[in-house]
Amino acid sequence: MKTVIMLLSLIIYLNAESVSESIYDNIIIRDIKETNQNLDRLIALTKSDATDEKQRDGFKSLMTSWKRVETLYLAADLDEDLLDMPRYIDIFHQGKEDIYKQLDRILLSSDSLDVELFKNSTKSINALEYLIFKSTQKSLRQKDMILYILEHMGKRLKEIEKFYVEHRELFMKDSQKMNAIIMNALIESSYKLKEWRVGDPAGLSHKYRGNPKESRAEYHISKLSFSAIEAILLAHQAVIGEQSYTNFSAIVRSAGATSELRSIQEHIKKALQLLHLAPASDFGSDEIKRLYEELTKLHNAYYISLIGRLKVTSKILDSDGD
Amino acid sequence: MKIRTTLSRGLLLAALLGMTLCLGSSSKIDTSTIIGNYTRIATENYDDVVKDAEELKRAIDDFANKPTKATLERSKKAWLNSRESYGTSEIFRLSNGPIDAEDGWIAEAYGSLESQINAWPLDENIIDYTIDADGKKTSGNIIDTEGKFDPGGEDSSVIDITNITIESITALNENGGDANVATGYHAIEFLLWGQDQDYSNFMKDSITNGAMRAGERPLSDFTTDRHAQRRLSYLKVATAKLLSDLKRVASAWSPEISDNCSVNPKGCYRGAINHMLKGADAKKNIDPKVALREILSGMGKFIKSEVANERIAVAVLTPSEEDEPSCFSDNTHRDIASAYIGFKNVLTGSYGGVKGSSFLDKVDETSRAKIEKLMSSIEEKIDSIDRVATTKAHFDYQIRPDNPQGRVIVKLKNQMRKLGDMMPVVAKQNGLELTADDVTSKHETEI
Repeated sequence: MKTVIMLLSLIIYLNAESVSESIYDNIIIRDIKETNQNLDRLIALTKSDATDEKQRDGFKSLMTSWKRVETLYLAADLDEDLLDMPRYIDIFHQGKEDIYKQLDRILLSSDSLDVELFKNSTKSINALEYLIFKSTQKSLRQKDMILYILEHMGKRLKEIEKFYVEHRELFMKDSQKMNAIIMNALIESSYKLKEWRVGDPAGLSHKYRGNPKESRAEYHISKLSFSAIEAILLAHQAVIGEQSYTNFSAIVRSAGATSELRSIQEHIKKALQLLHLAPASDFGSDEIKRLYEELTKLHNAYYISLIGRLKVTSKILDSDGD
Repeated sequence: MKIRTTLSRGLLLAALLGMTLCLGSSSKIDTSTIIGNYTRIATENYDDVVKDAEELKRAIDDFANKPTKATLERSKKAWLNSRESYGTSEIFRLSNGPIDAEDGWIAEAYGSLESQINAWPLDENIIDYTIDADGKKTSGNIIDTEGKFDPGGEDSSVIDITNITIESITALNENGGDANVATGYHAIEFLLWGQDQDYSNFMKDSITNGAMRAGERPLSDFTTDRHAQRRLSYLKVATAKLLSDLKRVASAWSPEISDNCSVNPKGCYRGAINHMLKGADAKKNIDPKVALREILSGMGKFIKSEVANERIAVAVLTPSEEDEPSCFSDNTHRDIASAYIGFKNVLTGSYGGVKGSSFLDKVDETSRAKIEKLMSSIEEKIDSIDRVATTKAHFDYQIRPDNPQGRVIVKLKNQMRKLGDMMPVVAKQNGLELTADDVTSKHETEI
């Protein structure tokens, strides 16, 4: 599933504006700022030749905060110029290139990085993962490539931050539109989470049923795929779980969908528990099978139950059959 | 080419349900209707396509008879010119029409020739030599192989190419895979221009270095080289086949309508879409609502999935020179422009300075203003890409990561996708039901 469009009915929810405002302040801005801070920290660690462990921890922080930004990437719906930004940063499930082979070749080349790293895929977070985790001993060229990629990612991430900071009013202007965009993001993310990030490596998805393969996991090189899944679930929890700030749950509650809300929150909680119980990086465990089932329920709860209760009309525009 | 036609289940169902039937008794097209005017545009556009291809054939034949710098340049010019009318005709694709219908009587009658005419992207290595990523000249291609040739790839079959003939290149086209292209505009383009891309790294651009340089096949390839005669034969044969294929597609729109479409399909599509076929052929008549839906669905898929996604997004977002449509001649800016003009022609019902009945006429003021604003913005970007391509940098330099023009191209892609997404709105206001799924190809390349 790629795109879901919703046409909200004319029901006006109470506090809709303050909900958008709160989501903007407590999630959108917080996450992008944190991601940029993590990126700057990783640059500093790399420049100072910090230990491998520190650098890898730095990558994990950057990656997990980026996953939160990506989960609730609302900028694409607010400004078409920012539509492709995630694609420049992250190539998971896009294209069929073997970037590892390309990166190995570039590591051996002496041509300038401006020339060699011209493809966006070789400047992605996925390329960064490979370069940071492929070996403990890093060559000078490898370090230069890591810094080059971080600089490229930084430009994109700072552009996203700038957009959010300068366009706060867009979040307040049309709360119904914002609700639709948020709902859309949750549905799309829950689908990709269950099918791409859990189902595909575990051999449980429609596409790969009965054919598990760990290398289909999002961060199989660094073995951080579970951390990415956790970050995405936490992003859902931030938007619709019980929090100290007002979030999308207020909208759901005001629409009288309390039981649906409770069910969604429960699915997120259970999914996190199962993920924590699962043996590290093992997509073949029972916990992962149950996680897939839980994520399917979460997706259905968003897509079927919640949409129905919010009196929202939904329509899948584009399904890739995965 | 890239995206192929598939008749959606929705369209098929609508076809089976068969809605209002408007039986025509006259062989004259009623151009006051959208379908009638669409037919006029298609007929005139394909007439131009055939005329331009005839000129291309004359130029190539002259070149083959007397290969000089001047005749080569004239051939290239004729090829570039032929792409203009063919580009605008591409809007007739993806609508279950004569150019690329894959099933049923239309496919049988007109051969679904799009993949013979305009196949792309292509692996040029099967046609002629290139300089590979290691700087070595490749061999084992149609030009340098005399006798049996295996194009390679999945389930490829060996073809005798002792003599390069229409039959042999037709048999080689897409033999072993979609990229094994041996016929059509782009095969001719490669033979005329040769390689432009540096396979080792497109930023290095060491084959024909420079922002304003396309492929530069030396004239000696056609004169003193030991395979010169085969190249000239290939060019002649490929151009003759192209013309013949284009004539067959154009015949579908002929005002002379055959009275036995099973034997001679001339004009039968024109007859069918205008509900004019009689007797045993009457069953081929296409319900007007189904026809209009297919046209609009095809328009949406063409502008959104084919042009915006396959031809622009893949090239600019990767970025990748090999994914631009006319990568040998660096004519991609014109491919984009002419494809858009074709879309606009049909949406607004205009061709050759004549404006007729159109889908846009029936769209309310608000939606119309929105569509026109979007089109105006698209046209600004197309103009910008065109202007830069002819003055400073070809498309392959515009998509480089260090070129700000890349942003213009990305914006164009986004706006073209939006325009495609407006087709359900246009459909609704023309009394038709069309979903966003109907204007999005299921085969879009994921980038």
